[in-house]
Order: sequence, then C-alpha cells, then structure tokens
Amino acid sequence: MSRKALFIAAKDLSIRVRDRRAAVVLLVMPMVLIFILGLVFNPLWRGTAEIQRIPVVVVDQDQGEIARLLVEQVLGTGAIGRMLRVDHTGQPAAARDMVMRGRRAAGLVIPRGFSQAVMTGRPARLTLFTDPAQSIRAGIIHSIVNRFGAEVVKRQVAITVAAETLIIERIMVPSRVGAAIPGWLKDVEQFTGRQAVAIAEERGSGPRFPAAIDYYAVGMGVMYLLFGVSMASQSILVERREGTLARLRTTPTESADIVGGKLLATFLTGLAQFSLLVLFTRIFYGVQWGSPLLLIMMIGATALAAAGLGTFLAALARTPEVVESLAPAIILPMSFLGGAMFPIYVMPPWLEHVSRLTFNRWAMDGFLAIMAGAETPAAIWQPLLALFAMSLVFLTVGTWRLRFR
Amino acid sequence: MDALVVVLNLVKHYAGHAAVRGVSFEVRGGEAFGLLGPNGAGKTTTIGMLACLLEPTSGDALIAGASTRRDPMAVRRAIGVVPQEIALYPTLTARENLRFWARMYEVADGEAGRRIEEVLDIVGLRDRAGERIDTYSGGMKRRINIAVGLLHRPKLLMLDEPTVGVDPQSRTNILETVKQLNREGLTVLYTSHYMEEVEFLCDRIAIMDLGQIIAMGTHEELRLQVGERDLISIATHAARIGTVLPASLRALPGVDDVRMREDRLEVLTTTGRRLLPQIVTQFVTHDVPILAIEVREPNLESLFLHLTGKGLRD
Ligand SMILES: Nc1ncnc2c1ncn2[C@@H]1O[C@H](COP(=O)(O)OP(=O)(O)O)[C@@H](O)[C@H]1O
Ligand SMILES: [Mg+2]
Repeated sequence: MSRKALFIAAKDLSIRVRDRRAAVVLLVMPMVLIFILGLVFNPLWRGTAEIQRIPVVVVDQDQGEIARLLVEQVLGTGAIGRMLRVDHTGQPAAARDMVMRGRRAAGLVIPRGFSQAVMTGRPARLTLFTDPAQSIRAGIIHSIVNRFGAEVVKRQVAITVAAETLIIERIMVPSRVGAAIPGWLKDVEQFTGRQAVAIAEERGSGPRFPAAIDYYAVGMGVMYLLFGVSMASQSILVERREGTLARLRTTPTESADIVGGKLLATFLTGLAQFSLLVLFTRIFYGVQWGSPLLLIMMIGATALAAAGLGTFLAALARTPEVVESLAPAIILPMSFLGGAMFPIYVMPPWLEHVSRLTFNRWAMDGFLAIMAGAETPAAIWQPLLALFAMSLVFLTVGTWRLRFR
Repeated sequence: MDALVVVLNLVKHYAGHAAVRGVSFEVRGGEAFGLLGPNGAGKTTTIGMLACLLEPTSGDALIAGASTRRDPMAVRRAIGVVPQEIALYPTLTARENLRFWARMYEVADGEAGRRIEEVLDIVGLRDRAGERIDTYSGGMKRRINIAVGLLHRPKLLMLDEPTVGVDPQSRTNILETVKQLNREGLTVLYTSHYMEEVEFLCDRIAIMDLGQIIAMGTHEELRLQVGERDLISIATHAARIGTVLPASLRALPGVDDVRMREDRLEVLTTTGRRLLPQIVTQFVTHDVPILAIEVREPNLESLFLHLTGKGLRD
C-alpha cells in the first residue's frame, strides 16, 4: 500500500470524524439499544433461564442402572441439572454430528453393557464429544463426567468388596447378589447423594454466561458495525456522484491506491467504532469483554470482514441512496438470524443452523467465547477463520467490481 | 509551431449512441483554445478523454508528447483539470482540500505549503482558506475548484464550463484569472456554451455540435465564415452629411457599403473596428460632427446560427 492510499484513507477519516449525524447513528444508537434490550431481556438471563443452560446430547445405548444414575441423578438434578439442558438421541453418529456442528456443547455416549461392566467390576468406557468452539462449556461437561467416573470407581470398589465378602462368606448366592446390586447402589447413592452437588460447587463460579446487557453489547455492537461500514463504504459512491472520484482519476493516482485507500478508511472506521463501543459499554454498563489480546484479534477480524461486506454492498449499488436503502434490508435480517436480538442459546436447532451462515453469528460467537473466559486464540479459531474467509471473498468480489466501474 | 495537445480523430460511443464522432484539433503551447458548443455537444466527453477519464472508442490524443491511451500517467502529470462540477470535499476547509489534492498531484511535501498559498492568491481566497467549503458561495467554490487544477503547475489547464451557476461578479473574476494565467504562459483549454467567454479568453476556437467540430479558427477567421459584415453606425446631424463624406468613406479599403439612416450613417465592412480611426478622420476632414459610434460585429452566436440553424442556448 502506497503513501497515496494512506493519504486517501486519512482524508476519508478526517471527513468522517466531522460527521455528527454518523457519530450519533453509529455510537449513540447502539448504546441506547444495548441498554433497552439489556433491561427488557435481563430476566431471561437470570437464574435457571433456559438460555443459560449448556446443551448436552446423550446416547444411552446401555439403558442400565448406572446409565440411568448418570443421566437422571448426576446430569439431571441439583445444581448440575439446572446448568444443563440434556436431550437424547439414538445414534452416536448423530450426537457427534450435532456437536461438530456446534449445536450441542457436548455429546455423551454410554455404550451397551456399561452398567454391567461397572457392576461386575470390569473396565467401563464412556465417550464424550466436545465442541472446541465452546471449549469452556465443553470443559465443564468433561469435568462432570470425569468426576462421575471417579465416583463410579469408588462405588465399584465398595460394591465389589461387599459382594465378594457376601459371596465368600456364603451369605448370599452370586445370582442374588447380582439382583441386589441396584438396590445397594441406590443406598450408596442416597448416602453419598450430596456428592453430585459438591461437584458443581467445586467448579467454583461455574460457566460465566453473559448477562443480557453483555450479550446485547455484542449483538448490537456487531450489527451497528455493519451499519458503520456500510455508511463508510458508501463514501466511494458519494465521491463518484460528487465528481471527486473522477477528479482523483485525473491525477496521477493508481486506481489500486484509490480503492485501497477507501477500503483502509472503511476498515479503520469499523475498528474505531467497535473499539469505542467496547470502551463505552465497559465504562457505562460495566460489560466485561474478556481477554484484551483476543478482543483485539476479534475486533480486527470482524472489522475486516465487515469492511469486505460494506465494499461488496457498495459495489452492488450505483448510488449512495441505493446503499442506504439496501443496507438495512440486508443487515437487519442477517443480524436477527445471527442472534443480535433473539439469543443464539434459545434458537431452535434449524435456526441455529441457519444462523451460522451469517456474518453476525461468527462474530458474536467469537466475542461471546472471549466473554465466557477464553484465553487462547485456539478458543476462537473457528470464528476467526470464518471471518477471514468472508473478508477474502467479499473484498475480492467487491474491489473487483468497483475497479471495473 | 509546437503543439502541446494533438487530438487525433477522437470518437466516443455510449451504448451505441455517439457522443463524440471524430474530433481533431491542436492546441499550441501558450495558447488559449476554446471549445464552444451547446449542452450535449460533446465538450465534457472530449475533455474526459483528454483527461484519461474516459477510454476513447477510437482515436487518441497526445498531450505534452504522451498518449492518453499508452501513457495516461504522464498525461495526468502534465494536465490540470477543472471539472464541470465542484469536485471538492465540502466538509473540509479549502486549505485541507488543497493539501489533499496537492498530495494526489504528487507535489513535494516541502513545496506544497508554498504552492497552496500561491494558488489561493491566484484565486484571491487566501483569507477565507481556513473555512469549510460548504460555507462558501458558489463562486468561491468555483475558484477553489480552479485552484486545485493549478497546484502542480501543469503544462495544460483544462477547464470545463467553470462559470456555470456563478454570479456575474465571480464570473468576471474567474475569466480574468484564467486570462491572466494564460498571459503568464499557461496553455488553456476552455469549454463553454457562452460565446462571450470564449471570445474574451481564447485565441482560437472550435465550435462543436452533435459530437463534431463544425468550425474552427481564430475569432477573425470564424467571423469571415459567417459572411456577415460588421456594421459601424455613426450618429450625427443628418443635415450636415452631404454627399462627399459618404463617397470618401466608400472609397476606404475594406468598406463594402455606406448607407444613410435618418440621423445615422451606417458603414458595412469586413475589417471591423480597425477601420474606426480612418472613419473618424474622414468625419473630421469633412467637418461633420460625430454624436455617437456603435460597432456591431457578427458574433459566434450568429455563426452558430448560420452553421446549424439553431441557437447556442435553447
Ligand atoms: N455516461 C454517459 N452515458 C451515456 N450518454 C452520455 C454519457 N455522458 C454523456 N452522454 C451523452 O453524450 C452527449 C455529449 O455529452 P457531453 O459531453 O456531456 O456534452 P457537453 O459537455 O457538451 O454538454 C450527450 O448527448 C450526452 O447525453
Ligand atoms: Mg459538459
């Protein structure tokens, strides 16, 4: 990128900084909306609200006592039960698919003969699928299942010892011992019942779900970022109409510098807009955005993809007015599908599926993961990759179209 | 004569419709050349091709030796373009606009400040240069629009109808400014649909209509094409005219006819006002008083009417 592109970008930015109307639309409006939505929908986010629960799919091929214990007593009751939303499917492959598509945070497969193995003291095996994009939530499931495993071993040892004693002392015949084991297990469970609760409390704070206002800071932030870049990329059409673009082309300036400069300005506008929103929501609403380093990476990737989308929009339209009316028609439905209003957590599976086609969803996933405590780039690699892919496609198509006009 | 601009049979079609159909002309270094024609004649399209904005359908133009097709960057460095519309950033100040355009014209950083003040002086807006363009009057915007085209000291300044929509005072100011620049040696290519402007400014004029040049030459040459003659009308006392004065006037070289009209003598000539001293001398010699003199020359308006059968402005 040459010096001239930088000059063009600097000129665009100094024009934009003076645009009061744009500042109001792009900064004040989302702040107001975040506040209102946060206030209105806050109850939804409180306590045991469905949307906070971690979706887990269980495949119970065992259907035995221990499996029931795991599903009903451990995963289904108490503090853990309130934290999860458990549903069932018949096939491990289906469960795996749901997790890999990000529709469940984890999938647990209890294989045939699991209970039998546990009760007869043979090695037993559980399979857990986890979604790397939801690593924090998946980690919680993982530790619950692990903990369960440890508890099972304890009981296994206790019951094996008891059963062997009874059989060796000839107090019970082995077949009666087998039949009695489920009853004993219940007794053991009642005795150690509090353990399940203890597991959850051991996790400390448990998962940190964004409060309503945090969620909408992300949702509206991403949505208004799109409005911001669509407004910014409109400026190339304004320049075309006002004749300054033609004048630029009568100066010894390469068209790559012109397009590059405009694009850079659009990107920087988005970057500044989102950063300011992060700052404002932090100061005024106490929103905790999470790791600053990851946040910077996400803001960069999001602003770039948004700039691409804006450029693409500008390339489709002939006049700034067309963009102005086209932008909401594209941005609003995409934002709603992507979870800007209707939280991703409560979407029915099909909608959740569709939402992954939107820019907003990927951006929101990344920011929400950081909010939930992600600390390494590995935790947001999927959103980052998706956003970079979008940038590449939209920028290529957009600049190609712009340069040919 | 060394030509700074050589236009070779430029043609521009828009979706089958021909906006410019084979325009050729030359502009010499230091000359002021005018393109005169009504709206839609193809002036802006021609300027657009010279400014490397529009790809010609066919033909080419050489500016300062560089081809608009093969070496557009060299052409762009040699020219200053003042577009028909005000191509400025309204929310930036005049000085900020000039700073930006100086960078686009690759004026060296060290020199830019000085050049900006220079062009502000040329258009007489130095004391208002810190104000935003959108607070300017139409005439002031036009003047900054021109200033931009001068920043890099171009060899050729192209102005496309730079006085459209300005008040008479600003218009005079703009014309004087361009005239002065031309006097100082800048080559000017000026388009307008006002014949007074090109008559005032330009050494040579091409008259355009429907995408073609229909007449070209100096003011004088064009006037001759009309075939109409100048009319010099001298008001006097009818009783004092007699017969000797008309006869001796008729005998002057270049005089075609002399007519009596009540209290006036009308001299028809092809040489125009250059004949005035001799006419006055004849009146003095024959002791006939001159009350008033009026010279009516056929103008480009009448030439255009003559060539196309329609007026320059509809
Ligand atoms: N971009 C364009 N597309 C189609 N037709 C055009 C375009 N620009 C100009 N024209 C047509 O070309 C002709 C010449 O226009 P123009 O060069 O602007 O004339 P002038 O500057 O002399 O008024 C007009 O008929 C005009 O309608
Ligand atoms: Mg024009």
